[in-house]
Amino acid sequence: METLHLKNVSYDYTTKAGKVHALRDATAVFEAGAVYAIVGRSGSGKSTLMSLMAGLDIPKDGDIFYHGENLRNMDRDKFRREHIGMIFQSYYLLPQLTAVENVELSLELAKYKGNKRARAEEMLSLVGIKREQFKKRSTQFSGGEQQRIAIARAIAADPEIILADEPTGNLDNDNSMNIVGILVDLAHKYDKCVIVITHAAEIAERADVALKMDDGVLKCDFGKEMV
Amino acid sequence: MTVLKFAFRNLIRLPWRTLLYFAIVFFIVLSVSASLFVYVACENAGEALDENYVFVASLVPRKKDSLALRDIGYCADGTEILSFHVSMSENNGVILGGAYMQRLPEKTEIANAPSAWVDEIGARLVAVENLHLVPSFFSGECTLQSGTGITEKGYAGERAELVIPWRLAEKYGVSVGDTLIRRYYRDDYETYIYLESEIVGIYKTSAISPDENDDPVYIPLAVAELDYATLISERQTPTSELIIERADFVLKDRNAFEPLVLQAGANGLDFRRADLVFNNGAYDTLSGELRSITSIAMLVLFGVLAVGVSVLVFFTLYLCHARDREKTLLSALGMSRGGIRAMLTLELLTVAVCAFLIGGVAGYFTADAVCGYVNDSVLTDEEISSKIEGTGRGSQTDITAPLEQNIKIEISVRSVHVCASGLTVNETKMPREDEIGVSRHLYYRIGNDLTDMMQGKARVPTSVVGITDMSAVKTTVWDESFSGIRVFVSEDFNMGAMESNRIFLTPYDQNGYVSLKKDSSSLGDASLPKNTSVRIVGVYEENEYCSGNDLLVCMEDYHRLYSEFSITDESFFFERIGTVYTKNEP
Repeated sequence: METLHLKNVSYDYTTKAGKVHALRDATAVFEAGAVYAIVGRSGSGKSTLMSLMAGLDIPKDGDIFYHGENLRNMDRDKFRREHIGMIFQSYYLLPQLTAVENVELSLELAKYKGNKRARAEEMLSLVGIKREQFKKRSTQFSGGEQQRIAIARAIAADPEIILADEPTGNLDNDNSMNIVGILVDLAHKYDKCVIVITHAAEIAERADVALKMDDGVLKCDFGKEMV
Repeated sequence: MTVLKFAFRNLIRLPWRTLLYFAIVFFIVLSVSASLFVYVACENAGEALDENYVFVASLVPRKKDSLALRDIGYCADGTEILSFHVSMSENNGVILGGAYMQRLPEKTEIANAPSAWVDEIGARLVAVENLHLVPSFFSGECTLQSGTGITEKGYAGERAELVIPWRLAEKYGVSVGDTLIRRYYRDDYETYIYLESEIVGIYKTSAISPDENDDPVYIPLAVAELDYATLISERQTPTSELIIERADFVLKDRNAFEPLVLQAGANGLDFRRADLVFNNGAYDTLSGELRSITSIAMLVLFGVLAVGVSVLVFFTLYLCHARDREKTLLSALGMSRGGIRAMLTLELLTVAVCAFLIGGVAGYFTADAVCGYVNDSVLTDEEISSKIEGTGRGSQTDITAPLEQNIKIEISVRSVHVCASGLTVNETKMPREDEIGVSRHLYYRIGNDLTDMMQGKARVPTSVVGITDMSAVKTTVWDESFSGIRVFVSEDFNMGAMESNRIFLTPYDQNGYVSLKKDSSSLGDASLPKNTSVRIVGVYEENEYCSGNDLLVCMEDYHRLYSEFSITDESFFFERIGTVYTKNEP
């Protein structure tokens, strides 16, 4: 069953240089239990696509549906709180908070009903952070660890969709593979719809579906199946 | 709740950012509030200074005969003055309030008048510049029953007009349009003059007078002046001697000086000198210092506001920009834009409010400390005293009030304290048991009868010495019963031609003064040069405090005498004590 459905989505904005068509008539369907890789050059419209899928913005043309419901008509803040987990290239951990507090942050916003601290600790353990490190400030972790904390934060509220924007962009090869492994596991073991924006070919290769963004146009690539 | 929790957690977890923001706001509020408190304290001090000083605009006419008495009223018209005094070269004749008017039973030839006066009852004449502004008319206590009241012709001195009380009109059967003869007499009753006048109004009064003669007859001031001139000429005193040498206007504050001078000039008073005389040369120093402090306070206020607000705006923008990632994250996690804005605003507001409150309180105490510093350094006694010597006075002529020295003013954010020589205004300094307070002031002794004064007898400068503890001086008392101002004289006291133990004292020297009090609305009655009588009740033995022609009185009597001659309201002059001696070490 389709989780997220992009139907003829277009987006443009105006700069001093003129009008930029960031996304042109993009159509795609994303389902749970699979890893989707969207690859493309810088400025090809990948991040625009991600912010539209996260409900941070709305398309100029076309629609995005979440389980058949148009995002235009939804409370998109609530949509993000409950159904979206986001991972960024530069982690976006709050330096004033500890590792566990950073994870708790998403639970607090999502108004998580259970024990937030226990859930946060569980998620940190899941991504391989040791218990004795839970109360360390986020700035005291390495890049790979910080990204794992960010993944723990993204999945803590149990969202259906994980959106990752260049999650391995700042990491070395070993850490990158580690993170990609976690993301693949999230899709395959935990039935999440993982959408990764990247320009790393090795990630695209490990994805179930690879999509290519080229000058705002979304198309299938690498011989992978286009859903 | 989430917003609240996030905001406070951020404030606590980012102490340096919080403290820096707090420090900026705190510094701005501290500086601004301290400047404002100091500014207000100085403004209040300025007002208190004005209230505690006597400002006299002393106008000297260019030509000796260029100014008539009534011109003084015009000069003061429209400006706020408390009272004025006119110094004249000839003072014996202005007896407007002392003149009597009587009516001839029928229209009688003036030449035959004296016989007709014998049995008639007189009425008190009061000269007015504007009848409607006489307090009793102004308040509605008196109203015109018939007639027009005094007309322009009357006020201009062209026609002698009278407004009489209804009791007089009824008793003598006179009415508006009738002619009355007014009689003036010299103080020695040797000379009378008779002048015709017309009744232009009869007034009724709601006041109950025990004596029907208490209700005055009103006559225009200009006419009264002419009467006076006539009387003077009858006494072989040339009219030209009725000249005003100087007019002193007691002003409400210093700012009233310029408008008064302009007003006087606009009304034709061509003056040779217009001086501002005040009772303490320190005024300029003190007000100058206060103005300087006020300017500095304003400079600090606007400087801090300009720089501080710029820094604050810059820092706020920087903080908001520096937190873009945090805002992006929170937005990505599903926090609404309103929630993010609320969180940031709450953080800034919390810091700002705390800084504002603490800064305000700190500003208050800082201002108090600044005031203390200013009191101890800029507004000190020593500083003022040293500058008094260099401050010239506008006029060398003696003024009715003694001049004070060494007024000290202390500013604070709570109140302003003005004192003179360490004494609080309107408070009596009470010397301790081992101390004696002594005050001394120069008056002029006229003689033992008012006629002495009217005859222009020489006035002898005489110091009156007040003492707080009479038992410190050995005295011999002749008269125990007298309850007025009791004076003791030395064994060497020069009695001169005095025949009784009564002495008339005046604050004026030989040139004399005519004192016209101006109340809030009108020129009131004129009076004799101020004088008061005291009685010699004993003799004092030689002592450290007084001798020769000095008159010794107890301190209470000293203050009674002093307030008698106050040029403004009596409450202004505090009951001061000039010098405090220790008893064993005078």
